[in-house]
Amino acid sequence: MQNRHNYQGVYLTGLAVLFFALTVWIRFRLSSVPLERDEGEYAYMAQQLLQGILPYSETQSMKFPGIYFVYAGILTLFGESPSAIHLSLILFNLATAFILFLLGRHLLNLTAGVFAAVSFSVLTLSPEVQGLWANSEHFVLLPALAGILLLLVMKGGPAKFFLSGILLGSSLLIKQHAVFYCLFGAFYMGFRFLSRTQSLKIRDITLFAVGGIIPLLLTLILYSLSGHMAQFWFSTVQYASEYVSLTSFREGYENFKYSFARILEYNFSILWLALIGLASIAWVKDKKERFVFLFSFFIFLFLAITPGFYFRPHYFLLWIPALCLLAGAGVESLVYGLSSPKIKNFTRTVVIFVALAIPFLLQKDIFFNMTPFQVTRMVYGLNPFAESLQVASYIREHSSENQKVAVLGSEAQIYFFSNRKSATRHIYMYPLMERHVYARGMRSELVREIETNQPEFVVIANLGGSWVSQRPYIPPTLNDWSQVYLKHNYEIRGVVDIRAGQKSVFKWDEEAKSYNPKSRYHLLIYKRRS
Amino acid sequence: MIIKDLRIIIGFLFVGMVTWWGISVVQDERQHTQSVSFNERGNILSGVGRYDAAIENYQRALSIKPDYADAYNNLGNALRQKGQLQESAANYKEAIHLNPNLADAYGNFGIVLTELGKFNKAIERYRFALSLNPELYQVHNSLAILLSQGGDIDGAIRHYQQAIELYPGFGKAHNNLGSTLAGQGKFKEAINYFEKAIQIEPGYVDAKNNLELARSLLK
Repeated sequence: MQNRHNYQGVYLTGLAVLFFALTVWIRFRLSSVPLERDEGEYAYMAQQLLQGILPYSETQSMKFPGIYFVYAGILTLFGESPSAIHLSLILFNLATAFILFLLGRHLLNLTAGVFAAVSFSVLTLSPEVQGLWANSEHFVLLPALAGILLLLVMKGGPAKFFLSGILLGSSLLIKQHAVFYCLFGAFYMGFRFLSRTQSLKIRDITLFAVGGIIPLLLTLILYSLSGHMAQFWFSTVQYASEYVSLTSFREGYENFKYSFARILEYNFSILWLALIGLASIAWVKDKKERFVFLFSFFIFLFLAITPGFYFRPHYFLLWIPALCLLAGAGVESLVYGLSSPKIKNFTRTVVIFVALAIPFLLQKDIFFNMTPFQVTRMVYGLNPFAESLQVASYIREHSSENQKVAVLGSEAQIYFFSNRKSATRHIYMYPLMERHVYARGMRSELVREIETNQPEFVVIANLGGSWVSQRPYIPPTLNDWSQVYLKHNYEIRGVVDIRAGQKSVFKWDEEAKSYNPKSRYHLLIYKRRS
Repeated sequence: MIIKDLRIIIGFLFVGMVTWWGISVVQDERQHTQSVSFNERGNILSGVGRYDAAIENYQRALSIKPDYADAYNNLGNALRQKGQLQESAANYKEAIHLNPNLADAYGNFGIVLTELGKFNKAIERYRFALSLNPELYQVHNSLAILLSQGGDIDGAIRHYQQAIELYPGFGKAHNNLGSTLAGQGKFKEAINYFEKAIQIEPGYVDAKNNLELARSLLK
């Protein structure tokens, strides 16, 4: 019997090592994918933070500030290149997988814990959740899951509740969506308190709540003291609440369906096991309490991806831990009825191997053949992420450190790579284009700030992705203003012609003046006349 | 025992249903991706005036995804450009039927109804388009033209002004507002709008003629 268990342990360890090694190798191989626009925003804000400029004081963003502090840490410890940022993600991802393993082992058993952790690593690698890019969701997961793990384990004094609260509260500071992780924590504490399965005291609940509030409270104090409370409040609360009410339920369902379908198509084996895990509530008799955890975790984490009904691919990263734990339960429930331990172990090993191998098989081109540039094109189309590096490099070489830049488009990575300040607080054009009460005011503010600050360079991004528009042009009001403004004060210095299936064409200085882009997707770089 | 069996059956039924749903959404997504690319291709062709080829692409998009409201709307636009007004109207109707919140389709339907001489119905559609999206400056302008023709000068002026406020570079709206004001005898104000229209579009012949006329009448 002991031997059988040892063999099972050896197989399991071997599989885990194999798949973890594969995911880490792929992340290394593709670590040089260029920064996409969200990463660009985080990196630019972090760069500003490291120069002593508090987020929101000079820049508008609806995200909570935690992610900028995380990025500031990454830039300091790992460096400022895209590779450095993406390599840091490997550490976060492995650490999160380890926490998930502990959760799975505690809730279910060793096999389920290992499977949950490895499948987390595999699912979060998928281009369908934009997993290769260091989106804020990756960084929410580590503190949020650690906080939940602390709630789950029996050992430890009252301090663990306080620490759990702090961790969950910190995850909320990284992305507002994490509020559902916090609510899950509160729900689970309430459940254990009411069901008396753990000797919880009111004191423990209070400590948890106080810990949860502290990170947000400290942030509010920081902004009050610095005198930027109004900007912080407007960006993260007033505008953010407009942002989450723009999409109808019907559009939301379409968004969910199409994003989820793509994830499902390439990772169906793991997700099907999660479904089995969910359904196994019906037939697994013992340990009902764990299913309360798993089921409510599944629901709360699903809610975490719903705010605004956008269901962007990377939002799904927040749901994945629950799906992976359920997949772990699914593996166990599949072998639940088997009486022979030998067959049980064999079946379990085969199921785990097949479930994990299928996503690699279906995405083999991306994982093993494509270059980082090709992968970026495949995931983000003709967005100018790779091109931004050269544009930023030109700007850096042709401007001094204190000169400013304006990008008419949502390409904050250009500010970051050029290490130049934005001439406007609007580094993202989406809020200016959406239908809400502040949009028109924001557009006027952008025009006013650019005219006042007179940036050395103005970059125009002629592509829909930069303007949250189906059509690859900038809106008429800004277009008209920019044409007149640029005509009188600027001259064209660069054109980047972004073409499908071909390398982008870069034209600089004299060549740029006589070049007409062939593609509808292009960047125009203007320099202020001396 | 019976209860346990029943629970297992319910569990399997649940797995079966969700699996079926999963397969259908994956298929739906594949079709969606295909039809979106046909629709996009249609838009590109429409943009360069190749309406026959555009229509073919929109129809292919719709053959894959028959409930694609945007493609019906775009098909309606291409048919309208070709002068096939009845067919165009039918496509806008279908787009609206599939997506009652598609403001663009109401606006476009209004244009085709205007061209068909059904002014009251067109006004209705324009108003509905604006209730869904008040930022459609072209619809404000189109509605104002019809209101002006119908004698509702105040309403027309209000909508021209809204069009200009939304898009200050909208030369036509400046010229139209100028004409409406001139019709009211407000030549000084009208001249300002004609001048602005010419400033925006230096080759705008109508605005130049209107400006000359307004100046002569002011004297």
